[in-house]
Amino acid sequence: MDSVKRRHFIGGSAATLLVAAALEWPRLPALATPPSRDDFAFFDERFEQARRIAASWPASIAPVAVQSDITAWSNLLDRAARERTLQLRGITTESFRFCAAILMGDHAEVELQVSRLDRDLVQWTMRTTPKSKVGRFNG
Amino acid sequence: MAEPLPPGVTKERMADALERFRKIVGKDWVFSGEKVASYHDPYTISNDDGRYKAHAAVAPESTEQVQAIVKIANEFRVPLWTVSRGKNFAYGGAAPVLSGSVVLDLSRMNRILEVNEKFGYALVEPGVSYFDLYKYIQDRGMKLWLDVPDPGWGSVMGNALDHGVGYTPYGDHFGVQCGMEVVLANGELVRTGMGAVPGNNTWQLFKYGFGPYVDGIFSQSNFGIVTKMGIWLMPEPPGYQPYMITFPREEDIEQIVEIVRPLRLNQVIQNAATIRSLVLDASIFSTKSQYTSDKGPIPDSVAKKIMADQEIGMWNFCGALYGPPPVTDALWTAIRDSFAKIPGAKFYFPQDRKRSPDILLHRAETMKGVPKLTEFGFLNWDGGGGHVGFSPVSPTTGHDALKQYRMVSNRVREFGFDYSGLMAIGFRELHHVTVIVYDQTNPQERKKLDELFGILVREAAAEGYGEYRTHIHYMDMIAGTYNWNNNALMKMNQTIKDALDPNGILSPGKSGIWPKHLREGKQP
Repeated sequence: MDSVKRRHFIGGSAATLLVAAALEWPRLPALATPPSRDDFAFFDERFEQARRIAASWPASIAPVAVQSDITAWSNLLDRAARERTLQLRGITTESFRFCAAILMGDHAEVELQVSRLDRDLVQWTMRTTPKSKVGRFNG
Repeated sequence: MAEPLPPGVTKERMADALERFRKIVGKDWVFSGEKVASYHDPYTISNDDGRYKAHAAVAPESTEQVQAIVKIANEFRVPLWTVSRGKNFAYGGAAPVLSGSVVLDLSRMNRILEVNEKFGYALVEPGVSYFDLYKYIQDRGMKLWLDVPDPGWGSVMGNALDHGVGYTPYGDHFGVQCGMEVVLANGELVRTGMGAVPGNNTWQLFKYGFGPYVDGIFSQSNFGIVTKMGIWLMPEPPGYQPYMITFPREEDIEQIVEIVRPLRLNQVIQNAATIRSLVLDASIFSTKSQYTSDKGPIPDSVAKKIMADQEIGMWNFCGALYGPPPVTDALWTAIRDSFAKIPGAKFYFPQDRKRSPDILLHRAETMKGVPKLTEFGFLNWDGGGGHVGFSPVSPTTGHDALKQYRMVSNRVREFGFDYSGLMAIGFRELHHVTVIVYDQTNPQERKKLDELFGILVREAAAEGYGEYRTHIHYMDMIAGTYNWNNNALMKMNQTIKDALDPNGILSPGKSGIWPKHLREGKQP
């Protein structure tokens, strides 16, 4: 899947690199380990501003390059949101942010903060808590 | 802002009803207060904050719980707005037409009851998504394909009931549904078609049973709550060949559609193929700012730049061939020779595409039933992230296609938006879906969009075109255009509504159908 091959990290450990075979969803990285400060961080590689801001994040964040399509991440995010509290951030287009919130919202309470940077980009953070822990299935 | 109450229901009565709902489903599955926020319309059009707001939501996990909820709703006269998964975002999401309604959220009812590989069908509950059913089939290695709409997170049942379409030969989703189980407003449970025969084994094989075929009245309606539905699935074909043909000029749409009609009627074009406009295809993987910083509709010079950069045309015909190679080879020869008559037509198979990501590579997956979320890319075209679909139905003639294109695109551009549309090919008609992307955060832009939409509906109706589906904000308006013979169809719908749901508790206002006590001042 091209979008998966295209993904790369601009910082952090190579050990956390997600590798997915063709036509296979990315695998969930080490859920047993305690959540890092940000479990997922995304930036839209097409836009210079997104690349620049992502590069300024602490190395421990390890942001992932994406474009507008969240499909390749949907299974992973869906499963992770069911299982544990997550913290995410992104400098992405609105579609990626919107789809992330809806996907996670199926199985988790979502606290979202969004600010628009320009016509193309929004900067956001998201904290999710599984609904199984707060008494909520779906929305 | 406090949650609104429905007409005629006091705060105390509503509180009592919600308490009774809690006794049925458990306290965790009745949502009120801030937890109702997720049932709002993410792409709201109205600038009136009081419209389309739910009072609460209740999420049953079984048909029996639905029956019990309906009985209480009758007792307290509480309107229920039913959603399968609430993911119908371009049409209002989970938000009710009538503010104060309690959303009946069926997403917990997400069991895949049967997938039959021998006969090619599934029996599902409302909460089953395309992602769920796809995974179920893939995990078991079954040789069946889904037909998916653009967003894979939607409900298989909900999409069919709302007359949604996909892109394989099974693209007419309601056309391939077979057999329903329905909770009526009085709580009674009905099975349609062969399902009414005790011990039958053909409920998902033969639609009609005996007597009136009633399944249709439970689609885009508020006459019952569908809790199970059969859907036919396509056997995995022995061969598959997706393709794309691009055309360089706006006016080519006339000749394209004239060529499409006989090919589709004769099933040379096998699937629910689509003809998509330049901006719609370009917006999936790029944004307007990557090509121009100017506001307003893109000029020809920018259109040409996009076409060259992305190897797409002013129109792009995406289709696929299904079957053994000798068959698909023969079909392709007929299709290629037909469209080659249009000057400048270019033909592509996936291996011919050089960009990544690419529109044909993406659609090659969709046309084989792989659920995705890729199409949401168009939200990014011009910032703001809102969208609404204007979807009139047209005969498959070049004259109508060109006429509709000009009517709609001229108006859309006059209001400062880009034309972003597709023509989805049925057997004898086109769904001409124009996606208007707007800044949902800007009240002025919402107002402008609302004015534009009203003009589009009125002008289409004046030419005899009606919409097949619409956002909750426009349901009354669209229903009002189906007014032949002094609104005879709506009068019949109201008669059925009053007979099946005399207290008017099921989804008031859905498709413009209102119960008697809420009809004052409304057509007919």
